[in-house]
Amino acid sequence: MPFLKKVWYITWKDIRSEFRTKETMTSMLIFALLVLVIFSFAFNPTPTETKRIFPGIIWVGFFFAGVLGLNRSFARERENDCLAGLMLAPVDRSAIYFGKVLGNSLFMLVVELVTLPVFIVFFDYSVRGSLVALGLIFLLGTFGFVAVGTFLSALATNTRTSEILLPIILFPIIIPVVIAVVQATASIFAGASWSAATLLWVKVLVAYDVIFLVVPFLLFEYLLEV
Amino acid sequence: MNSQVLTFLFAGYSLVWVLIFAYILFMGNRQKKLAEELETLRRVVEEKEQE
Amino acid sequence: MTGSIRPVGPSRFWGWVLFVVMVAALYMIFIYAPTERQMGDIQRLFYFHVGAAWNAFFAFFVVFIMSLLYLKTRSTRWDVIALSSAEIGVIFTTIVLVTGPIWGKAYWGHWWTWDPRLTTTLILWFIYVAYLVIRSSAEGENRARFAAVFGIIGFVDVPIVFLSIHWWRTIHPKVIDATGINMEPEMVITLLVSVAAFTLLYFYLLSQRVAIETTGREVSRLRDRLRTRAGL
Repeated sequence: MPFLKKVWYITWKDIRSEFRTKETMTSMLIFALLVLVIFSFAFNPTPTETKRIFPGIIWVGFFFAGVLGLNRSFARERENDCLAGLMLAPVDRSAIYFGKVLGNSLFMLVVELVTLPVFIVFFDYSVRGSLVALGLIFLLGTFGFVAVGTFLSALATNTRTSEILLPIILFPIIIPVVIAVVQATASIFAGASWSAATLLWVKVLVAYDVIFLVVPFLLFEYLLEV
Repeated sequence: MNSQVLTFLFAGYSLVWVLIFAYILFMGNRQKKLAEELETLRRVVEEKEQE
Repeated sequence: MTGSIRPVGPSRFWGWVLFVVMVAALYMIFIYAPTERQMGDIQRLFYFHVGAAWNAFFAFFVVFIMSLLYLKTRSTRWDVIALSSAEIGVIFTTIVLVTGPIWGKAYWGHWWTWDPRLTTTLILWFIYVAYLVIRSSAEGENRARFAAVFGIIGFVDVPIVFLSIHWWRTIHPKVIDATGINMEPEMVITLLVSVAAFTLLYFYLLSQRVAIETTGREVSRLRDRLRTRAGL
């Protein structure tokens, strides 16, 4: 069986089990929307302020919701010893990693796709810029976040303090993604879709994504040792 | 102005040394606990040997 | 204490070398080095600030190398060094983060500026505190392995963090422009001695910490063995 197919089987397994319960996605969606509401109350922004802080707010919402989902990603496998079953499956450990990354990215992208319009409506934000550029940034940012997040989620899940450990170890590592994705989103929303600034951040994101796909790929087997 | 600068300078160097000594104290505490534990272990082993 | 179980810590000789160099560094900082013309006396904080910063980076580099060695060989020796180095690195980073704002407040009137170097140091502090949290949170055999994995990930992340903060700052308006210090020869020598003093301090603390950790593990290993023997 080709490697990619194995990866897809892992992803497909996650998608199917998610669709059976829908618990993770529901929590992520509600949480992202709650972040929006909290931000409105906390800052009560005027239209000019909104313009400035909107790209930051949406990504804070996505990242916080994302951590919820990532926490479940491996915690779910601990029930009924599913992780042991996964590891016994005739696939490389790295296939498990890539499969999980793909699945988690899909979940997070769905959350982003659903909540972004809501954010825009509630903040009465007028969006400019190219949709293609925006899509690219969302893909790259989400992927970078999930690549590190999935890896560290596998690490955190086997510790005593798994759920509270993940955000502590994840957020310092993803600072470059936070900076790049927010800056790029801001410059696209400002109408400068393919400006030099946007492209700089695209490059940062691409570099980050590649590095943090390769390094976890090399290290993942050390995490899932029996 | 200058005395204020000296206050800052004093505060800076004091804090540096406080941090370093706090860490050394922390290590000293560990060592003391280890010594105690080692003492207990030795007693247990000696009791065993006498049995 | 029985002599066989206690690994050798730093020798008395190196303790004295550290003491002498540290006193020399302090003498040079406060008396030998001329007062910086623009910044005045507050610039004298700079010597320890840089000494701590340089060695903090070095400490984290050691964590990275030891993590690689541990994953390769699985010898706890490397794990002990990695843990000790990370702890000392965090202490040194804290020193950088304490002296930086004090200097900034005295000279610019601002406690903090999101300058790339200072900000990267802050993120570095978070990364290695997270590293230590993983150590206290993971159990048994997982502990060393997870820490090593994170030690590698964290170190790989540092240059990307620095570059992205650098670009982020160049796009944002700069509140404070860090003017370079015009270093006179005496200042350079003082700086070198301070860095040397901190390097000696690093190695002194490291060997002390490694000795304690090694003894501690040996003690708990013996205790566990006694327990199983006694059938407890």
